[in-house]
Amino acid sequence: MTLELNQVAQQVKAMGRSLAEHRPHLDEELARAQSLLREFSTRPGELHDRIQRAERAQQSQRFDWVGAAPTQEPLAEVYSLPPCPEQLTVIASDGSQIHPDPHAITLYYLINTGCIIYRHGSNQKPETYNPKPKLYYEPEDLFDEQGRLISTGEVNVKRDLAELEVLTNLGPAYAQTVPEPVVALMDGQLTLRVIDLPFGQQQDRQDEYIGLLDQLREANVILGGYIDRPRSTFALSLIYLASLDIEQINEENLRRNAFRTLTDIELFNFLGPGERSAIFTVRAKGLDRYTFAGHTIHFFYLNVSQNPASPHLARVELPAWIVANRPALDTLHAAIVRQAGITGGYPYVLARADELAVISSEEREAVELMLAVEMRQQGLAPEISLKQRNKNAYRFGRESFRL
Amino acid sequence: MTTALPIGWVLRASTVGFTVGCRVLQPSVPQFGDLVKVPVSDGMSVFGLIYNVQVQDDPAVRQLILVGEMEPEAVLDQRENRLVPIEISVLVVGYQIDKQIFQGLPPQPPLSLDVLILGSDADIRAFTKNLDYFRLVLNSPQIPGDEVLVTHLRRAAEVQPPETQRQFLLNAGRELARLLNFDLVRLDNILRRIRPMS
Repeated sequence: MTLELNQVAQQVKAMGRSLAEHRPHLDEELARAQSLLREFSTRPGELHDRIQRAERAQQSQRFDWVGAAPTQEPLAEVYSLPPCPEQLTVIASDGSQIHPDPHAITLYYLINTGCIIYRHGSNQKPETYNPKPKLYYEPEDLFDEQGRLISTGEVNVKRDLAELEVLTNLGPAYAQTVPEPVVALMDGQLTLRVIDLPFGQQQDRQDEYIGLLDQLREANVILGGYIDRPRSTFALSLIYLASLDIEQINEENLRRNAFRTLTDIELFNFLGPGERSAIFTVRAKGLDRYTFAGHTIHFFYLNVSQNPASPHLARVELPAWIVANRPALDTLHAAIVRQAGITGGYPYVLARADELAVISSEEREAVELMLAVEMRQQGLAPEISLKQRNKNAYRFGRESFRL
Repeated sequence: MTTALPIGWVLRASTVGFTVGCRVLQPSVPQFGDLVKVPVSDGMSVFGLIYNVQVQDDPAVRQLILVGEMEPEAVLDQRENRLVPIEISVLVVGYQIDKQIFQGLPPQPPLSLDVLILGSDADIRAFTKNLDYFRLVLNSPQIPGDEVLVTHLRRAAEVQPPETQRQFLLNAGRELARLLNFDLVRLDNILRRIRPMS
């Protein structure tokens, strides 16, 4: 049965009406949030008191408050685009994977990474680097001690580690050899998402990851994580606290965030081309290890657009040691805007790193074909599951008879 | 033109022509009017003339053009690092079995991924000993046949021994006059452009 588009069409109309109906209310909420942002812009002490109260509520209840804390910078302040060094090296890495599939001919997974080194002002072609793809197939790679198949989350953790490892291999090497500042950009947040790992592995993997961050810090590489079109609400969570009297901050009220339908990028929609917001600290459970290691995660919002009529806001994450180094912070800010200027809204190096890393469906098919041939040569009988065979037959077989 | 390095691989083919894909970075990007050959099977090669070289569209390049912030490093990255595909269209004009060259359509077209190489000077001299392939070029619809022939003949003349270059072009002119005696304007346009320098 195919999708009945005529039935979807009616719902799409209703959805359009609903979006339009909600807009006035959202605009009102946004105006209130922005007013609170300005009101509390230079009252960090009161906000810190509220955050402490929210985090205490979190400790006593089974509820996690996730939000932002102010730094030295006034919350509503706008920071204009600093001058970009004429000579500047920007390195980006990205990763891609084939997840283990119980319906494929055999169990395996594969991780591929790509990296690009772009030297602004050099008149040289950027260097690209593809470390050897890694195929995992041994039982200890695939199963835990209870015989459970590795989850997609665990594979993603390995991929994220591989991405940072590439930056750690190349960033310090370039920082030692080129005279200009070296910026390392990651696609996404700076922290390793370990929530999908078995509890015992979470700390080990985080320590491994933090060890790599240490190496970048020691080499004076300017590190940033770039989150395009973020749905995050860290700053709005803080503004919601500001809207409550301190006595009102309890689990029940924390669950009832009045600004829950807004996002931070709407809150900072006043940023002009190239401008960034104030810097905030991320407050969330599970980031203590980063803080202890001196990598407290901070962020700011940045309008990377050059056109005042069409702003494009991204969230940029950065560790504490970049926040404490104003020239490095300004270089990161300027480098991202310069990179995004090449493509019209997204750092060029990130787009290219993705292109270098991505595993296309054709490439995946080629890997499986090679595996099938090798298995047959070894006297094995590679077969996809009956479920997969039927899916292929019903999904793709129909094409043959289409005029 | 003595290189035997592969410059591209066959994408699609028919008896009368084929299309080859290659990358910008190939050591010698082929030119309009070049004589090329594709070894297709034991002892057999197909000869053709390039009548179109096309740089394929690429959404990433399109986006960079629209933005207009063209940094030299990004241009070099696009041209030299990325796999920007070039398609070369070739008109089949003959084939060779062992040492013998035939002018006309081959019994079989090249297959996908057969390798395209530029014809060597010796290949050009051997192939242009006979000019029967002119008819195929002039009668092929939807290709700029006159332009292909003019460019090809100028280049073919250059690789003839100096003492026979003039005679080669005179012979080519006579053959063209025989084939185009019904269209003197067209003939004149070609002859004026291949006329040997006195």
